[in-house]
Parts: sequence; structure tokens; C-alpha cells
Amino acid sequence: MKKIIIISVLSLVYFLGCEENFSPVGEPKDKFIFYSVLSADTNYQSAVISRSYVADGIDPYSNTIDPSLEGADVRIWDGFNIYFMKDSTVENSNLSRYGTPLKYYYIKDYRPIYNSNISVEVLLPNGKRIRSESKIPDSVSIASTSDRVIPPSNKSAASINWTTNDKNVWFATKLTLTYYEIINGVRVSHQKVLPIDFISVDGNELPIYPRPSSQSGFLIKRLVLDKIMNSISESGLEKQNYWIRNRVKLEIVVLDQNLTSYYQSNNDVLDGFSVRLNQSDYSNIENGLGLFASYVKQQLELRLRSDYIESFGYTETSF
Amino acid sequence: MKKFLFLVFLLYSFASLNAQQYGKLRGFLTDSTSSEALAFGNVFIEELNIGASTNNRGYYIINNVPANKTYKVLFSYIGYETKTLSVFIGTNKITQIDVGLIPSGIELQTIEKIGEKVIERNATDLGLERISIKNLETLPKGVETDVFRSLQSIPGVQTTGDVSARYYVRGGGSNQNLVLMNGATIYNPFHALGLFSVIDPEMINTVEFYKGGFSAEYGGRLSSVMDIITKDGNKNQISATGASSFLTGKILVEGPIPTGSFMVTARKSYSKEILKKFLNDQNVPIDFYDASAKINIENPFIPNGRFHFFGFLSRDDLKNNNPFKEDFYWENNIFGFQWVQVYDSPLFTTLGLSLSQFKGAVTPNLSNAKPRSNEIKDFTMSLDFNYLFDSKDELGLGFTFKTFNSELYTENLQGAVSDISTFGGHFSVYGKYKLLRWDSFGADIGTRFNVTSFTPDAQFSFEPRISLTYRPWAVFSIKGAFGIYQQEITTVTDENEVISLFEPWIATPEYLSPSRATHYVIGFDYYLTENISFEVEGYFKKIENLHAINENKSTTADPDLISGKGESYGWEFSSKMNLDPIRFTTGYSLSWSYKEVEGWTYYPKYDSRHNLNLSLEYNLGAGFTASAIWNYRTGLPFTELSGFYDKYFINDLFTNWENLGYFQPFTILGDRNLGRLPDYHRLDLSLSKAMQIGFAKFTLDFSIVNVYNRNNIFYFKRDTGEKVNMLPFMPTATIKVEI
Repeated sequence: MKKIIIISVLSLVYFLGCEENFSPVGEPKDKFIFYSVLSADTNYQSAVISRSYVADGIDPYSNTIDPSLEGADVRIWDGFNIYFMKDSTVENSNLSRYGTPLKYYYIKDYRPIYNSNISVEVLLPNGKRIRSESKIPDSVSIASTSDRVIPPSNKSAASINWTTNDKNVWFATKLTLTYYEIINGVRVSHQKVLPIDFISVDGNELPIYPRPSSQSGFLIKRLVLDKIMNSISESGLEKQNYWIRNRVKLEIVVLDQNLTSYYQSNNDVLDGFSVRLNQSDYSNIENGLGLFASYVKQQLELRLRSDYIESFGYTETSF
Repeated sequence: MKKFLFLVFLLYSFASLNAQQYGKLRGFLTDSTSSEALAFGNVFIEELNIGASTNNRGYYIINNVPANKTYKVLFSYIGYETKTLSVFIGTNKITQIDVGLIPSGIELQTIEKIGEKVIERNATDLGLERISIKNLETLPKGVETDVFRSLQSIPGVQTTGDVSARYYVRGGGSNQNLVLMNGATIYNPFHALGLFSVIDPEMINTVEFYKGGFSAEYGGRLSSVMDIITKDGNKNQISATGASSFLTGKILVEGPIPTGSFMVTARKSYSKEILKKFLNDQNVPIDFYDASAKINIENPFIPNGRFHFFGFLSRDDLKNNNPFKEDFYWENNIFGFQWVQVYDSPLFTTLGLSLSQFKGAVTPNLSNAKPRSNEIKDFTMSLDFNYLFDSKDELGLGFTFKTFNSELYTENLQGAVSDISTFGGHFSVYGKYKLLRWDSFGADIGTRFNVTSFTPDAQFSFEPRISLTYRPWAVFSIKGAFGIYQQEITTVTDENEVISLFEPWIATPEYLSPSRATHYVIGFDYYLTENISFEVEGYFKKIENLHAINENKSTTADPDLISGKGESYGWEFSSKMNLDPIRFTTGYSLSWSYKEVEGWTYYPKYDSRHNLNLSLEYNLGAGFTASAIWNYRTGLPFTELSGFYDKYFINDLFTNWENLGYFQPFTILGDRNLGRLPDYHRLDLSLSKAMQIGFAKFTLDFSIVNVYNRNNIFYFKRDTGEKVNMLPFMPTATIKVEI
């Protein structure tokens, strides 16, 4: 009798402890996805259209059918002008994980104007329409108080600032220093993206690069620049065999409000510990998913002081 | 001040006019070893078959006792030996009998409470649960005894899982629950991401929990009120209690001071290992502490009055010690004063002053977390009068004046900033009349009137309340309650978060109206015997202007909150059986709750159709107590996956967009909360042993959480589909030493 009771209790415990069969997958939804990010700096614009798909359980990679769509009518409205995108395909295994040519839409002769409002309307092959709007960002102007020569001789950091009429936009910035190594008379080009700071973690110095943000400016610290300049000669050549270009390239990308929101929702988190039942999925496509956005990229150069280059024993060059 | 003195005079005169042929019996019921007030105890006059319960400060009063006679009066309380005294009641006199009850020995824990069904005959207590020190001591400890978790076995109180101490009452959100400590609001009553409450049970004397239909003295929240009164401290001798669990160490020191007593508690976390069990084996570098203090002295100016000075501090720090990860802290700081006065008439007043501050901030450092901060400063002054007429009727009057100052800075995931500052005042007056003159009928009729400066859309508001009890037979009663409730402050809470690091409070923005709820409650209770009772309650709750986070906020100018509606209804059943040495309680609820936001109606994440709690406690003798709790509920709602799409992720903003990033599968969610997780059930066992060794009392408690290791799903990750379960099989232990 005791055995029966023990076996019954153990069976009950096993039964109760078991995990029930449960699938989080519900009724499928048919959604259409449109992506196009227009650049105000080129005449070539493109777009990708696809549809949602179902998979075997919760593994999306079990789907092997390319969900991209062709045959849609894509129109961009810029004021009273209409621009049509053509559909095409491109063989690019990096872009398509389905092993098929990626289907995309393009236009070769359309450059949006800064600070203009545009919209897109897509008539899908099944007759459904999706649409969206964007405002092309305005250009930025470097502030008159901004330093143009680095490093400044009279302060510990150069201040780079700009202004724009746009609100709710973000800026991505990149500073690139070009230098050459002269090896056996052959000039080998290198580029170093400049960090804005270094931070010590577990005894290692790690560079901190500017992150896209709403801040219209940043600082270039002298100490940071010193470290970068010193690191150039770590390959062990004679110092004079390092030629440093005396112009540092500054790129500023202005993201429109939609691209700003999309970028943040994909790249940022509220914090690492809150548990959310849904992931952020920003979309500005009516009747669909995806993104219709724009950006402006501007480029200028800051002068790197000759005496500063030479103080490291390097050779200054202007090309 | 003149008006106040006039009111006191008026009530006093009224009492004198009515007290011609009878006497009154009043006093305080306390623990004889510490003189700590025994709340909700019973005082029963055997010959007259009448009695009274002590209030949350151990005070009782019985009016209209025929004079010039000696009566046999019984004083009883669970866990204490019943005391019987012969008391002479003089004409037109108030006879004050303060009684100290002796705790039952370790070996015999009495559960006797005399006259329960007679005394509570016409009490208008629908929706009220009372939890005393003794109740808390008998709860299974688990990892850490927690008054919030103990509420979760009450029918009508829901949770979203083992992991969170947050609770949801009758379909209301967790921000609709008011938590008061000695009358001061605690804005963030949670430690460790909401895993535990900040209320150390060692500091508690009593808890009154109203799950709906509460009367006019409470305001400011839509769903529930938890009114905590802390201990006064041992008035007889210095004593100390130390306790340790797998998570915290804590100490309580209490003792007498001239004309009063003091109490100090402190609790500190020392291990993070156990937290991993709650958080899917994730390392969470949280440290927390809380501390409280209370000093009580006799009123040096007026006899029968007491001054209480109290303070409460709690702080959580989440420090990663890594510049690429965010840090976080949040803290509560509360300071207050209460003057409780009993007059030479059946008048009882309480004056309260308190300052409650909450601060919390996420510092992103170099991580991609969003900077967020919130600070609340709440200064509250309140005055309450309670007058008991000879007819047994009671009059309650009071007012509360509050200044509310909030600062909030947040960024949402679309980068939209909210920078909100609010400062304003809130004044409310309430009046209520408790009609208790008939043995078989009781009514509590009252209203609140509010004047609020920080909610432009509702500067003036009324909140009528009524609660009725009719007992046609001694063993059976019918109860009903109705009330309108307004909440002027709210949280910016994302209901998609099952564990929230940050739940900031703000005043209702000027573009929204304050939330308002209407409660309709009906109930029945039935005493099969003195120690076996059954209760059934049905409720319907409707909420207007229910605030929900604006998930489409993408610019600073967009509103943070939008307005919706809510509705919930259900039935609750509970039974209590005190059959020494066994105590068995049952709680079952059948409930529905809905929210409607922007035209979409959905089940909130805590909506569960059936909820069953069974609790068995067995006094084995020789200081051993065993208990078992089994909880079952049908699955909570969740949003199903309805497919995938190839989403575009950006990793370089400096090349053409087709080359900036990559496409990766991403889930598409179905309609909100239409799916249901599997049913939840869990069995916890506990064995306690109390023993006296020399001058110290030791209590050892060994508990097993989730005895049969049920894999209860907490949630599944949207990106990977991975199931995250709640607490696994987990043995824990606590030790407590009292000297």
C-alpha cells in the first residue's frame, strides 16, 4: 500500500511539474513592409518592399521563400512633382538570405530638396495602398564660435558646434584623420576615426566614439588627440615616415524625425533590466510596416596645426 | 482653529446631553509583554451579548451600557489567552479599562476570538481585510516575509507572477493602489525591481486592506487602500529581534522611554544569488536597505493623548561598476508626526503631518539606456474626528491638505523627451455618518469634496460613498457598497513591462481629466459556527479617463498619456475555518477585466478568469507549525506572434542606406493580449519551530517554494521565442531571534 501511495504521489508531482505544450504563435497577419531612406545628397534613391511571412513555429529562419515583392507602383510626391520608382533585382547574396536576387525599386534622377515635405504612395500588386511622409532635414551651419583649427593652442579642447532650423532631429558625427606610412618609398594610406574620449575599464583604455544624439556639437580634447597621434607610430617606423594629412574630415549626418525615431527604437533601450513583453517597433508606414525617411550628409574639414603634427616628429602633408 | 474648538465643544456637549442613564466602557487592548496595541481584538460583555472590536490602535469603546451593574467582560485576541474581568459601570461615567493580554505559550497557539459574530454583526466592512502581527507571523515565509505577497492570496487581488510583488485589485492597475504608512503615502513601495515590498514586517502592527467600496476617509486612488500602522515599541523593557534570510539581515530594537516608547528597524540585503532565481538567472547588482523609527510619548498637555514621531527610509542601488552600463537608484524618505487624542467624551481625533519624498533616476553612463529621473515631494496635513454617539452611531469628519511637487525627465524609445514639472495643492474634506444603532442593520454614508489646483479639468469634485449591512439572522448578512473615487496623480507606466525599473509619478496633465472610478459591491457572509465562516462578494467597477501611456509619442510635443476606459467585474468566495489546531482558508475569484484605449478593447495583463488559493496551517505542538499554500489560476493574457517580417537594422549612418545596415527577421505581434498563457499553479510548504533557549526565543523556518517544480511561464521573449519561467523549486530558510 505504501508503495502505491509513494508511486501515486511521485506520479502526481511529475505530472503537475510538467510543462504544458504551449505555442506563442497565433493567427497569422498579412502585412506589407516598405523601406526607403532618401538622401538629399545624391540623385539615386531606392526602396524595398516585402510582405510578412509565417514560419515553422517560432524559428523565422525556417522560412526559405523570399518575401520581397515586385510589380508595385511606387510614387514619390515632392510638391507638385511626381517621381516613379522602377523595380529591378540585384544579385547580392549579402542582402538576400534566401539565395535569390534581391528585388528593389530605384530612381536615378531625383534629389530631394533640403527642408521640403515629401510623401510616398505605393500601390501593391494586390491593389492595397500604403503611404507615408517625410520632411527632408535642413542643412546645418557651423557656428561662428566653433573652432576650425585643432587642437586650439589656448585651451584643452576644441569646440565644434553647428545650428539648424529643424527640431526633433538627431545628428551623427564622424571625425576622420588620414595619414600615410612610407614603407620602402611606397605610400600606404590609413585612416583613423577619432574618438571623443578614452575610458579605462579593467585596466584597458577603450575609445569612446560619438553616438548619434540631439546635441549639435561636441568637444575634441587635446589629450585624446595626443593619444591618437602617439598611437600612429606604434607600427615602429621612423617618425618622419609617417605623413599626417593636415585636414581632418568632419562628417555630420542629419537624420530626419522618422529616421531619428527609428534609429533610437532599434538601437537604444530604456534600461537593461526592465522586462518588456514587446520590443519597440517604430514604423511610419500607413497600412503597413517599415520606414520612409530621409537624411542629409554634410562634410567639412578642420585644420590640424602644423606645429602640432611636427611636435610628434611626423611629417605634415596636405594631400 | 476657532472652528475646530467649536466643533470639539459641540460634540462634547452633545455627548453630555445624551449620556444620562448609561455608562461607557473604553480602553486599550495591548500585549502584556510589550504593551503593543492589539488591533482588531474583541471586547465582549457576556451578560448583554454586546461588544466592540478594537481599532487599529487597540482602542475600543462600548456605549450605552446599562449603569450601576457589574459585568463580566471578556477580552480576546488570536494567539493570546482570553482575559475575563468583572467591571462595574457607573452612571454617566466613562469607565476606562486598559487590558494587557498574555501571549499563548509557544506550545499552545490559541486561535480563540470571543464574540466575533456578535460584535461584527452590523459592521460596514465590505471589501476590508485586516492583517495583524499574528497573521503575518503565521504566513509561510518563502524567501522573505512580505505583506504585499500575503495580500495575493486574498480573492480579488491578482499578480502577474511569482517574480513581482506588484498587485492588481479587482481589475485596477497597480498605480491605483494607495499604500499608507501611519497616514503618509509611500509612492514606490518596492525593492529590487518590484520583487519585494519595502515594508519590513517587523515594523508592522496592523494592516487594513480595502479592496473596494472603501469609505469617505480614504481618497486619491481608484482601486485599493493599504493602511499600515507601525509598532509603537515595547513600553516595558528594552528588547531586540534579529532575523536573517537568504536575502536580507534585519534587526528591530524597541524599548521604553519616559512616558512612552521607541522602535527602530533596519533591513539590508546581503546576497544577490537568490535574486537570480527571480530574474531568469540574470545577475542584477542590486543592493537595498530600509529603516524605520518611531517615538511615542504621552501628550504632556492633555491626558489620554499620544504623540507619535516616525520616519522611514528606503533605498535601492543598482550599480554595474561598468561605464558602458547604466546605474539606477530609487529611494523613499518619509517623516511624520501624529497626535492621537481620546477625550473625556466618546471623541477620538487624529492630527497628522507628513512629508513623503520619492526620488529615482536612471543614469545611462556610456550605455544606450535612456536618461530618466523622477522626484516627488508630498507634504500632507490631515485632521480626523471620530465621535461615537450613545445610540452607537458614529460621526466621522476630517480634512486633508496636500501639496504635491513632481519633477519628471524621461526619454522614450523613439527619443521623445518628457520634461514635466508640477506643483500644486489638493484640499479635501470628508464627512460620514455610520448608522449602527440597530443590531441587524448598519450603514456608512459619506462623501469627499476635493479642491485640486494641479488638475485644471477637475478642480472641484465630489465622491459620494455608501456602505450597507443587513443581518436578518445572526449567522447571515447581506452587504452592499457604492462609491465614486477620483485619482489626481498617475504614473507614466508602460503596461508592456512585466518588470519595471522605473514607474514615475506625475500629476494628471492639463490635457486630461483625472481618472474616476465607480464601485458597486455586494456581499454575503455566513457563519456556520463561531469558527467557520463563508463570504461571497460580487463587484462591478467602471473607470473613466483611465490613463495609458502614449505608445505613439515620437516628439516632445506629443502627449505622454492618453485617455481610455476600464471595466471589471467578478465574484469572490472565501472561507475561513479555525478548528484548533488546524486553520484552513479558501479564496476563489471569478473575474473579468477590460481596458479600452484608442478604440481597442483588450484584457489587461493581470486579467485571470479563475483564481484559487488554498491555505492550510497546522499547529503540531511543541512549537512546531506546518503550513501549505496552493495557488491556481487560469492563464494570463499575452500578445501572440502573428508572423515575421524582415526588418531593417542600421549599423552605419555614413554610407548609402542600402549599405548602412542589414535585414533580419522580426516578429509581428497579433492583437493585444488575445492569447492566454498556460494555467499557473504552485504549492509552497513551510515548517516553523519556535523555541525558548534561556532568555532568547528562536524561530526557525524552513520553506520550499514550488514543491513540485511546476514550470509556470512568466513570459516569452519576443525576439527569440524563449520561454522564461517563474520561480523553480526553491528551498529557503529564515532564522529569527528575539531577546
